[in-house]
Amino acid sequence: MPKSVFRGVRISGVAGAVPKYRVDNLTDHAFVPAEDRKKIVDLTKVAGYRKTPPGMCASDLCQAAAEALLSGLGRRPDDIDAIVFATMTPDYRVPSTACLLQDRLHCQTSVVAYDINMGCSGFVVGLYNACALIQGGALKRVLLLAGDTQTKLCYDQDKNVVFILGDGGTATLVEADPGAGEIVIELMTDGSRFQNLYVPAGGFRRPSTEATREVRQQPDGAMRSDDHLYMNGMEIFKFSVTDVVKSIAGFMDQQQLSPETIDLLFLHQANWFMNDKIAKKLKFPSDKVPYTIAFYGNTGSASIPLTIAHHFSGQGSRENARCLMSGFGVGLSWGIVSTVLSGIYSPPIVEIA
Amino acid sequence: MKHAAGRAPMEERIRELFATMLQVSPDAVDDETHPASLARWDSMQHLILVSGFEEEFGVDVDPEEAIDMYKDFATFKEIMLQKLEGRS
Repeated sequence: MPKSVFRGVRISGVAGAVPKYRVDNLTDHAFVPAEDRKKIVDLTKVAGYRKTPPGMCASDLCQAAAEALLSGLGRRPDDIDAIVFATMTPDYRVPSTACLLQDRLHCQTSVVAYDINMGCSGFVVGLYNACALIQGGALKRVLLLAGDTQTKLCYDQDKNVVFILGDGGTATLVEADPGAGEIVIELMTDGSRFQNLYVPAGGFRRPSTEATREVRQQPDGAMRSDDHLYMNGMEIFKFSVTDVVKSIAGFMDQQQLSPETIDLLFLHQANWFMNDKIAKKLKFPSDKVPYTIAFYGNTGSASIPLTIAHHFSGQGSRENARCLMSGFGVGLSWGIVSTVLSGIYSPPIVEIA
Repeated sequence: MKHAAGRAPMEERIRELFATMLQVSPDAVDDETHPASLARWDSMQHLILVSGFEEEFGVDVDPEEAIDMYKDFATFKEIMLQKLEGRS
């Protein structure tokens, strides 16, 4: 896709919310020997993550984040023109959860609201939508919500995923501002590889049945049903360290950016080993690549804004911090954003029980 | 390619460390061993192996090399040997 350049649009605040309950990767997951648990934590740096209880959804986390954000910024629900909710874990299969959030956040019925079914690239795709609604649709304020409860997609004894994937929700306020700099976004898609990260059954192509719900040993040796999330770890690793790195390097080259001119690189928090390889290939020093994976794990569409919120929480971004962001995952879908964050508001991460 | 006799001690060290990290007998590992033939050698364990070898030998494995090393033990060993020979 050609790069899209949005002008007169700015990110004015980012907030995050997580469930209070914490999974400890060293002491939980008794189905894996303690020595192996330690090795996995040493590799991924995911010491633990937050997990929603039954009945708590990604929308609940995003709602809490949105309320903290709007309150802190002194904005009222009536100020919002659109709600874009990026998630792969909606409340219901029908309708779009964004419609429910219009009501729960007490926004006007004139609001534009829709979901985007995306995972780890969800924030970047959502930001593209928010910017397009403002630049092309003449809206003034878009509330971009990005969140997932991936723990609900996983079989709790599939070690390929239960040591990494956590739950989180975020809210980002994107506003029209004639004085704002550019937001440059590039999105990419390769659906030919979708089966490397997907839930095989439970949709309309292959509805959930007693057979698809049966937990059994799969060809990769892991235990799960076809209604659970499957990840081909090596193929996703390969995708991330080759396709994604190549795309980011090409983007930087075309935008005449370099590790020296970029202040912060916000990567989707996949796992530490993988992200460290990506950052090293791009020649970024570690102090320019914030990580939150140790606290929250990989939170899907929430991971980039949750990392931004965690990084700037309570302090605001310094003036004119040039930031590069990249989300990549299910689809396969990936994207890159270049923008300057200046004085954004980020309240402390909200915990909900 | 260096002489096989000169490489033998390092080959054996790699095989032993590989087996120790996977918690299998060294006898269970030969050049034909591949992920599908050794249940313990899954993608997560592979990255743990690569990270462990990086730490043990003080080398840096490129991501592309890490991917190639997941083919079979012969490839894993050969890439590690080349890195160690390149270092000396």
